[in-house]
Amino acid sequence: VKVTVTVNGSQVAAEVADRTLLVHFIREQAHLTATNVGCDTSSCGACTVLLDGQSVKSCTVLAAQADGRTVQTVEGLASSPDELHPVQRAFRAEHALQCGFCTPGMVMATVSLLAENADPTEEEVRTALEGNLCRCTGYHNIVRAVLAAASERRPG
Amino acid sequence: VIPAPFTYQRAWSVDEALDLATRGGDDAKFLAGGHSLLPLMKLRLAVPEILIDIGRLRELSYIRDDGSHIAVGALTSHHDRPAGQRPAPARARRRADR
Repeated sequence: VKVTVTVNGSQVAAEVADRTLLVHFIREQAHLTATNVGCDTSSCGACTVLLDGQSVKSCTVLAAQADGRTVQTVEGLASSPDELHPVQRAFRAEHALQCGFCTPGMVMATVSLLAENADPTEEEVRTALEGNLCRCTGYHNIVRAVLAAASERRPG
Repeated sequence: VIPAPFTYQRAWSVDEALDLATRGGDDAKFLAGGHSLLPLMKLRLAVPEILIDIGRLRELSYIRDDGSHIAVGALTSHHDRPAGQRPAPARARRRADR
């Protein structure tokens, strides 16, 4: 099947097998390898990307389902290679990662949450990140980072 | 892990989806989001030969109060429910009692 996806603003077109998963399209056709394959069963959320602005687990979406649509990965967040997106900055400042494997997915799930709810409560943050597993941090610093990113975005 | 080979078809209308399903018969399955079906296909617990993608049929995504009952479209996602609104168990029960 012929698939054309706008990935981080650039159009990527390829003829791929019908069964190609979006995460493999992103890694192998768009050559963006920050998006990880973790559990491969839609449980862990390491492969979370935004599809038309909504977070999806890209190991459980066909590339064909994304045809003609827009994908954003963690590489597409910052405005330049020297900068970090506010959510990335908050993750670093709050030590919200240890091994870092879950981080691209965590960051994308956070971006998706804050786009819908600019001022989430701690409970809303924990609910929003339910689909993203981290085996290192115990989540406390991740939640703290999300709340910090949210308050940084608020004016005043 | 990737699913066994299949043929991907995309429906652009409900009529087209039904037509593709009729032609595909038992070998075809509908693909909505895929977060249940695709993991089953990776494990070979489901091995459809044809997948009919109905994910773009936005007319199947709605929550509508029809007075006597609430209608939920087949493509309505859990996330689509009105913000802050929990399912209405009292109303659901009333419907079930009839």
